[in-house]
Amino acid sequence: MRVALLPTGKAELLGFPGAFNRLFPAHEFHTIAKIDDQKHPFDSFTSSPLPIQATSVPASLDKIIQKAASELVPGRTAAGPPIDLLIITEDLELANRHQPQTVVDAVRQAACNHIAGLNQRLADQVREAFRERASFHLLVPMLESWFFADPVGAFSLAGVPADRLPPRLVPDCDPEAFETGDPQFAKDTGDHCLAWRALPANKRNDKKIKPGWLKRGPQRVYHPKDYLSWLCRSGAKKNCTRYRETHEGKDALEGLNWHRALSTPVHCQYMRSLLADIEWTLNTGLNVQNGACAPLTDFSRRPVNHIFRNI
Amino acid sequence: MESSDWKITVRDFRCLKNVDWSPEGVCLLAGPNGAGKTTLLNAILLLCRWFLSGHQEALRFTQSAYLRHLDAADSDPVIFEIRVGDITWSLALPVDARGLTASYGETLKYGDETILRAEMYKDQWVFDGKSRPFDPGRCCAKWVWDREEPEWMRPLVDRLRKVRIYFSYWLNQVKTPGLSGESDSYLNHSGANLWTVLRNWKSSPRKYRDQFAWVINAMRAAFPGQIVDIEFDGPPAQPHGKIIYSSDSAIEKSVPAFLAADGFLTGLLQLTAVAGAPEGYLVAFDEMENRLHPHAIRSIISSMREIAEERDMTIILSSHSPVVMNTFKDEEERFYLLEEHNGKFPTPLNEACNPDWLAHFSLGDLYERNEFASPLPKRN
Repeated sequence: MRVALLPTGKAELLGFPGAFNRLFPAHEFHTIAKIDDQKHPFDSFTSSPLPIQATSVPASLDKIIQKAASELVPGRTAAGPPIDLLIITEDLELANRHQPQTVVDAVRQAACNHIAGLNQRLADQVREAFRERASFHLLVPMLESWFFADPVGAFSLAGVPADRLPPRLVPDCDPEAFETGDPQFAKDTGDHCLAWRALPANKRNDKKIKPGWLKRGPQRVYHPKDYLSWLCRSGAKKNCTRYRETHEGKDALEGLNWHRALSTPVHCQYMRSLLADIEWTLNTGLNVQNGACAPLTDFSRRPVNHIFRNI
Repeated sequence: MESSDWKITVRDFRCLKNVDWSPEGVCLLAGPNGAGKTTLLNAILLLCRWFLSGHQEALRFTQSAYLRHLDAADSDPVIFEIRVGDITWSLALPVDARGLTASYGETLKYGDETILRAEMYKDQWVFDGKSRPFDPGRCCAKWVWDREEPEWMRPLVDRLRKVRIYFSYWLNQVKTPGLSGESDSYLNHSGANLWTVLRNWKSSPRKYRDQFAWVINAMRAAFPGQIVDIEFDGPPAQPHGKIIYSSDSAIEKSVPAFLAADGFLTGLLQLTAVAGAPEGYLVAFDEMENRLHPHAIRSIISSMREIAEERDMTIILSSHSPVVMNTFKDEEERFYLLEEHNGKFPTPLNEACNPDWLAHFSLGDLYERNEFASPLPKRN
């Protein structure tokens, strides 16, 4: 079967095919980029709080839905086999961590808005394609939380030095409710970031250069990518970390041990929902969903008026 | 004759390898830099000038060197052809890198009948069964037309006469106008006679079919709050525009044209260009979006569509602007890509891409994302 993934992160864009192919080698996985160069993912729409029950949705979400619809119906040309399953993934970033339902509602609304703008024939086809062959899943709060679910395998690939392991999370922490208990990280002021400190003041505050955990302030303890970046900290780098989504992030994702990551039945429920959805479609009998799925995106608990397969 | 009942064919002209094109209505040309948008407009102009003013003038205007496509063989002529209804007029140019190397070939056909034939490299041409020497100042078809203006030839001549192409305006001259013909009734290619044209239209509304009022109304829509009227200062041969932007109070508020924004003047030039084109004309604008706000772009194109329909005109826009492209949603058959698809060049967007697939997107988004007219190598 052919499974397409439409992510909003660079590591996912580059790493999803390898990660899922390792788990389901008999099937074909590919990702869909915003620009046809496989470098630019679609823009995230959860980095700012989404308004509740809004009828208009962020333009970046509209574009994701347009692309998803066009990949399913009818495809750009008649050539090529159809996609059996299309999965949109998006982070549940800290700004929206408290309202996953609102994010899901926005996706449903965007799909309805798109369908309403099509002619009747095409609208019927897209409506059916979304319901039968498209899903939406959340990475909570972001991809890097998955690596904390498998620190043994993923962390070395992500570039974390062995002497900084294991990561220190609060006791019994579900990576999807991520919170560090590492006091050094919580109070770090970047004194060790020598190359960053040596930059002129205006460059130091450039948001593309300033280390994420220093930008974030107290919220950093809930941010798995900040913590991972800090674990990979390097004073010689201008942004003070060796972690890059396009390299270490991709490698860690491709090398993720899914079974180990999902070994705690009550943890990583959104991740399990995603895996269960794919597994059900591919009918592989892998049974990685042994444990609880997030009700909001669980395929088997979808609402009666579902717009996508699972929401 | 329907305005669409014509076709231009070009072979091996600069970056254009093989063109067959019948534009109609308001059309868009899109492609990466160097794909041939401007060259295609130049090809149309070259054919018109070749007929109307002779080959020397045509080649002078379009630059006579490097006429041939780089991939063409040295022996391949550059071909231009226009078919209007049953009439086909063709030129075959033997060229090297410097320009024409010898006398060019020319044929004129009416249906299946060959009316005249001039072969490349020959010093005589044949018409009416007789060999004749070339006239250095005009092509053979023009010689036939000038001789007795045969009625069957009129559709071809009309098509070649009714073309105006605007590449880039000389805004400095618009801001500080020099002398121009006092009786100018349409915008010349540089736009330098803008104020003369508008003054003449305003002073004789009946003669000029209220074109001035149409331009002002269209300008008001495109540039809200910036214009209510235009008045003119200066001598008759050198008028200066004065933009009246408010007449709410007792004192009229105005600015001299040289203070007007470049985008404002560009919009005024484009609207004046289309308003001055009579029934059946072809008017083209190269990169019409330059200097314009998205609202102005949309508004001006809307005005262009209105007048094109009313006067059965063809308006060709070349553009890189996603805003311009978005105005062609549901008119994909008039959105031409300078890409070859199924042997067609240029290709209507609805033939290059599945229309159902296009329906999901705004066209500008697709262009921005390199989904069509991309400079990147094509994927398999």
